[in-house]
Amino acid sequence: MAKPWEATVRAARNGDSRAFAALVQDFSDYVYHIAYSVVWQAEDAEDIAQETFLKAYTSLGQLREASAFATWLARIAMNLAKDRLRRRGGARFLDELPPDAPELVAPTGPPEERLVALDTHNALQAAIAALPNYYRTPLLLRVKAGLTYEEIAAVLEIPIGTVRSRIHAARDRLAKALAEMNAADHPVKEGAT
Amino acid sequence: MSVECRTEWLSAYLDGELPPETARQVEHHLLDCDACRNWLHQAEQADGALVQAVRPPGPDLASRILASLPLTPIPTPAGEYADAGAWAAVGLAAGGMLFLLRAYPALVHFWRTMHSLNMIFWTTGLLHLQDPAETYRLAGLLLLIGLVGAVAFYGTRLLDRPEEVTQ
Repeated sequence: MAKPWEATVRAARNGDSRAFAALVQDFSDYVYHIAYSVVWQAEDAEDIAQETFLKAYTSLGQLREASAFATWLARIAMNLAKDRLRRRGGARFLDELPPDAPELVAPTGPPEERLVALDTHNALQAAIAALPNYYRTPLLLRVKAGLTYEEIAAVLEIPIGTVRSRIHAARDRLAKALAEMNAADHPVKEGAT
Repeated sequence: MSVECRTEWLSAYLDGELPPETARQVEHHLLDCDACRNWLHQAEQADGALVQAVRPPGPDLASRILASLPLTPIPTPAGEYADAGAWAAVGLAAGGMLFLLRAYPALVHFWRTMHSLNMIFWTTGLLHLQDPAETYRLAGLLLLIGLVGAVAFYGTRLLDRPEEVTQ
């Protein structure tokens, strides 16, 4: 089935700059989340999104199949994000060592809910910080960027079975961290749930 | 096939990545297995918390990207090839005409020789082109069509330049 944006991609490929602007509007968050899943910093992810579209603008003519646009764009973003990570001198993308603690949004809302959310936030932050990139990135690509397993496999250039097992492993670790937190005797949280 | 407690299947089930038959088996298994139901619930919680915890992009990200794009038109390979093809066609047509003008006496001599040797009667006979003058008229006409076509094509490309990116 043809994707809804294919005609727009074809128009942009034929030189229609308005169509390209429409693609930027539709795909900027998507590209941002792909970059974020690797670099884990909002500012860097925005810079990478900008670089990705600049590169896409100059090389869109090389894209043969309009239907492959989303994956093609994701791969550009992924490569730029890996370069950025390398330049930053942090953990390499497929390094087994846990990367630096990721940047997470602090919970907001009424004080009581915020206290409960803060517990979850801290537990999750610790669990995410302990995840290697090769677990964390596929899960984020799935739950935040909305890529299918097949698309993640294409973007990360790994077999689809590996995508499945890594997403499961990431979820399993996070689920266990949350389960441990839920099991602990915590009156505020129990009252709120 | 038994589903048993395969959390890897539960993860794929959560993502809608299982074949329909396997998904039905997982659903059936979930009815009787507290451990798997708990795992699924925790995985959903983890997903939800993760989604909420990621910092969203700034509201002006798309505008910032658009502002950073070059003012030059989007390079299209089709355009590049069309330009090259049009110039090639113009060159060929002009070169062909020049060649005909310059080599006319030699061509007439060659034609007469070949004609006398009866070597190309078969092909020219098919086209009813035994008369050299008729052949030249046809060649000239074909070159003219090529030249007009190339100029028209290239002219269209010039008129159809993409607009600048809206900043």
